[in-house]
Amino acid sequence: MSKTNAASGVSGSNKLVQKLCYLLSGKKKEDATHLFKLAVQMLLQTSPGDTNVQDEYSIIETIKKRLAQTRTEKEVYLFSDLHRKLQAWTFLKNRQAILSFLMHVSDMPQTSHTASSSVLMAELITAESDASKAVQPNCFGLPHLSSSSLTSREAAPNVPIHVVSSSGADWHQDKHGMEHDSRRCQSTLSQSSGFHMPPDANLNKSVSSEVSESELLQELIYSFQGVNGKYLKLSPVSRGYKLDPKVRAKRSIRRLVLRLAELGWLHNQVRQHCENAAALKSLGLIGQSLIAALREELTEYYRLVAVLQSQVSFEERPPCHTDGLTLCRLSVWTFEPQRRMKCLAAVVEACKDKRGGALASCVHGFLQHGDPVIRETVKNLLGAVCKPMYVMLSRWILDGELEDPYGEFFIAADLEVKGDLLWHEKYHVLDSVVPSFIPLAQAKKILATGKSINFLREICQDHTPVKGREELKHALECTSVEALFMADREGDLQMMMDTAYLETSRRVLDVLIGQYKFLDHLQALRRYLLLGQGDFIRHLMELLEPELVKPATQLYPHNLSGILESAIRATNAQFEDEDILNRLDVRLLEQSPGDTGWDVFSLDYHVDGPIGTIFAQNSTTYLMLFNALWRAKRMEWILSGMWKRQITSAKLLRKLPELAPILQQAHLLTSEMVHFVHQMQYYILFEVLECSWDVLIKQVQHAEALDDIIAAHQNFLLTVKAGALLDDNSRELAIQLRTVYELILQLQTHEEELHARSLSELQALARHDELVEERGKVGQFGTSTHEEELSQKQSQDFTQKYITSVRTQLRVLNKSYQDVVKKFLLMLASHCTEDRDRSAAETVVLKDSSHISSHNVVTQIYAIDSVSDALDSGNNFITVRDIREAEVTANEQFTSKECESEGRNHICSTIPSLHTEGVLFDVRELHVNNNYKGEEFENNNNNEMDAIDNRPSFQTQNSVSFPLERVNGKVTRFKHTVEVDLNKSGHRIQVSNNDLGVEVEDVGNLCGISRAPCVTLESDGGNEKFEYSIMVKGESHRRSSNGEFGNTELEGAGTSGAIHDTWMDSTNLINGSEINFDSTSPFAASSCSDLNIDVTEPGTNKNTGMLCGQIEHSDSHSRFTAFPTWHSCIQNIIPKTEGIIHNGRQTVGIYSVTNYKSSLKLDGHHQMVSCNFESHTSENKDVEGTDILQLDQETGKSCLKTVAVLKQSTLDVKSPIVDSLECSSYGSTSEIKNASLGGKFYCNGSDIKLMKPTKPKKKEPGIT
Amino acid sequence: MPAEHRMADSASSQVLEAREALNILFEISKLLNTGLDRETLTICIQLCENGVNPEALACVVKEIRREVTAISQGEKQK
Repeated sequence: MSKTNAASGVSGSNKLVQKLCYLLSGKKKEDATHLFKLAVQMLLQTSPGDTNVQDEYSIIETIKKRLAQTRTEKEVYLFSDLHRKLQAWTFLKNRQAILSFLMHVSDMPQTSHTASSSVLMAELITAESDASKAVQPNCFGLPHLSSSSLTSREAAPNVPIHVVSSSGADWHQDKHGMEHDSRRCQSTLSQSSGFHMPPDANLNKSVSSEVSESELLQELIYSFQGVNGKYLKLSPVSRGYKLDPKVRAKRSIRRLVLRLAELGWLHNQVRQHCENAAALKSLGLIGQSLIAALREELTEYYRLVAVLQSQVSFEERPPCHTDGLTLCRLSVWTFEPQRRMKCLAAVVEACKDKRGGALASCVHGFLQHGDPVIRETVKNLLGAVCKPMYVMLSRWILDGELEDPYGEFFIAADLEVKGDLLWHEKYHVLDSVVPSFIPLAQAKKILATGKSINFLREICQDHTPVKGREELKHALECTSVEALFMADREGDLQMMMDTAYLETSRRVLDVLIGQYKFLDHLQALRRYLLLGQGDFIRHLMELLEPELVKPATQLYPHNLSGILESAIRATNAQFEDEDILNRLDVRLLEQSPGDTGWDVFSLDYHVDGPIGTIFAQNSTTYLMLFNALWRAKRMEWILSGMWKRQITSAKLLRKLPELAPILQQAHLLTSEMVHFVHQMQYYILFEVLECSWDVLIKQVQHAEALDDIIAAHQNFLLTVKAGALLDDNSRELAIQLRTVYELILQLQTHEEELHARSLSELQALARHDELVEERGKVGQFGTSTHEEELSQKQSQDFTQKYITSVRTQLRVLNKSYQDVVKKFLLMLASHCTEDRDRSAAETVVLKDSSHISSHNVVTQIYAIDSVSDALDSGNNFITVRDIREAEVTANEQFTSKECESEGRNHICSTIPSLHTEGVLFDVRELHVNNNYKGEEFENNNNNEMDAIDNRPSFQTQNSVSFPLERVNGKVTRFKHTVEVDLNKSGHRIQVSNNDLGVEVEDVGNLCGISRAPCVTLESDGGNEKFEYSIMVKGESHRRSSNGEFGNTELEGAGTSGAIHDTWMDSTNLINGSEINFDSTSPFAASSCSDLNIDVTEPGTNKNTGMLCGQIEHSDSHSRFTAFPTWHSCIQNIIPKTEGIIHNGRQTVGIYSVTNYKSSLKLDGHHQMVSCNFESHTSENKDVEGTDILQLDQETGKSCLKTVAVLKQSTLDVKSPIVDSLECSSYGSTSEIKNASLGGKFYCNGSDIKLMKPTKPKKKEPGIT
Repeated sequence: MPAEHRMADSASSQVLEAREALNILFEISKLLNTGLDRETLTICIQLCENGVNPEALACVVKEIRREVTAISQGEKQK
């Protein structure tokens, strides 16, 4: 536009504006004039050049968009149409301006800002009109209209002064305020978007100082795609995005931008990985599918970026900033994508160098995420990753084909393996590649499935399809990949795989058993190699004998084969299947010099083809078994031959009376041997072979898969091998057996010789007689002197020399045979014992021993068989343990040497002798491993503890820790832990003192500890003392310290009873006999005291018994436990006992026992004790309880129920059930001084022991 | 009006063209619901052609309308 044009334009424009005003004002002149002024003022504010902000296209787009929002699509088309037409006309110079004008005039929904401004205006209007002022100036004074950068009247020179001033001072003030407000409003606007501000002005203002938000947004969008922007650049060091430090931006914005830019960085990571990995050739299918899935995710992400971009460009247009993008919005919108991307980046990072199944496992690791978005993302990834694997899996399960060009599948094949070894060696599971979502057992099944298919195809040449394959194929195709890793163990896919496994396995078994007669072959092996077919073996042995006595070098397999053939033909074996007989063959083992045929001969059974899979690898075992059985059989045969000879020749040889002793001797020895060999045969054939065979057949019948059969067969062979004393453990036994066999062979030679000599002697004799007779007939002398002498000499020779030599030989043979067999039996016995102990884990723990006649020594023995597990290590253990000081020394004598010397078999014989001498039993190993921790027990090895703790424990760690806490030199807390690790079952007893009192924790219910009553902590002249007692299986044991922790003394109170738990080492430490208190004696400072109270009958004052008990106190409660005497029980009295009990410092209370009922029949089968007692303490007078003891003689079980003890106390006594028979059988009491009472019944609340006095004369108090 | 005459004088073909363009613009104006009659629109187009800022012009138009309604309302109330 030229200048002249512009000038003329201005004047023309004025007229036009005037006219416009006139038209718009409804053709009213007066209105038009001031409207004109307003219009001119407004128009002048903006320079004409400012309009070029938007191009025509964007205007059109905006209009279209609005139309689309409010109108129908048709109108949008109409508009486009019109616009196109308009474009055709070149007449309009400023089409864009016109369109822009139209757009702005149009009453389409404008931005809310305009709306709000009109609201504002309306408010102002009403406000002004209320003030009943002229309308016009108010209208002009609207802040909105002056909201542009117009600040003074100079900017509007055309506006008459009176217009402005007419509003007066008020208006001025008003205007200032308004202006201020609008400024503020403007500045906020300019931060978010430049609405209503001429964009240029806005830009000019901010470029110098700050980057506008829209620019930052654009930069961010660039960064999202990994593109460097003007301000936001990829930092080469940290590989993240950095905002150009030159750019001035508020810190909050900067932070926001950087946070958003992280998404770009994450995106870069993922993309980089995709690019890098795609370049790798060794990536494999699984890796490739991961990349593909990642790319898909990226595409999705790019879509988002595109949307954001469009938002940004949209935002650049002024009037719609509320729809547009802001940093905050962006951060909200990208929040989720960012999380996704973060997750992807994490996956990518984790999977960097992985491939195959490991990759899948790695991705699967991310699946366990609480966030559903991430889980979904990972699920998609994993689905993609698993797809190739799923395909491989399907192929493998369905067709047994490994389609794995990159070696990613978890099943691998060794292509070099061919033939029979296919099943065992060709395919295997690669443990490291099995994805984590497929359990190993499942993987093994999968392996077996495919392997079975291959086995059928290659070994069995069976190409018929397996049943249900098509359905399975269909089902596999229908199942989604996700089932592979999402479904739980009972999912469809798993079921499918299991079914496939079962069906394929079934098919293999069917083929093997049906087509290939596996069972027949098994049977044949049993018959021929394991000598099941008796007649055949016997006959074969007879036929072979002449051949086999030859040296091994002279044997020829074809001869033997011929004999085998004839043996078959002559026996029932001929009815056997042809195939089986063809497989039967003779085999000669490797020869060593001096071997006879017997040593090298062996039968063989050819196993080739499919059944070879089961049998082939066991052929040596079968040979071994055959040899052993064959040898045993031969011994039997030899012996029976000998026996036959002996019997048949017995009559003949009766003529030689001098032969009788040796014949008898030989006969006896033979019989012994026959017996032995028969027993051995019986054992092997019946106990071992038959039983194992039965098991095998059962297992084979129930087998699901070939592997089951193989395992069962293998197991069978192992059992038989072990039973036939051929395994490694019984090598010595086997040698011994061989020695026995050799002795039999020796006897055979001797016997044969004897037989031959005897017969020849007999013949000589007969000849001699004959000769004599003949000559007698002829009438000659029966015999000449010379002949007589000769025969005399001969027979003398025979009787004297030969018989004596044979006799000695036989005697030597007999002796060595006896020795060998004895040794063999002994070894067998120990062998079996070991076996049994190992297998059955049967344990007898014998505890304590010895009763010694002296009064101050008591011995106890317990048999506990509940700790069997400890024997796993092959240890029997015996606890030597005593409760008396005197026996501590005795205890020391029970070193492992002594204990070990006692064999298990002596137990029974030892028990009756318990009362005479302390004996210990069956300790295979005495193992002491007490481990004390903490300073307190440092010197435990040089005092009495040592002696006592030198007890066997379970060859496990038995640790006692006893840390004490000291505050101001006073012991405040302690903890005493006894840990017994019984096969890591975690038994632990812990006694600890806390502020509340003593607590006992008995993990694993090791000791049946019911409570640990009390503790006293005292400071005595700087020395700490502590004391507590604890109940262990009804035994109270007290520990005390007299200041120096090294010299901790441990006392047991009320310890006359049984101590069950040997491993409760330190809690059971005892150094004195039972402590008895008179009821009158003051209690020591201990808080656990024993109490004996004389029981008198009410009224009569007659002492009827004694009530022994224990009183325990703590600050919060007291407890009285009665140990009623037996005597009183018998009397069945109701004693009422009162006593004042004090602990040295204060009176604790009065206990009265009332309503005490007890009955105990000594000879009966039922015993019951019930005891009700009440106890009154100073604090609480309501203490009552009932103890009921029931003892069932037949079961030997007793139980004691303690019902309610102290009402206000926290004690809760649980009564363990004790095998009282045991206790009463072996328990004995030390209460010699109470012997007059006839015994003592001991009952202390949680357990019960029946004790009888030890009367030396009385035998075994056992059964009561 | 004089401008229009001048244009019409310069080339009669241009008049036709202008009318045609005006028609189209009027259509668009109707479509956009501007509420401008043909005469007003013509003036506005001319103003735009003269280089007036279209946004400001639109503002003016709207303001004038508002003023007029305000005035007429004020009169009615009176």
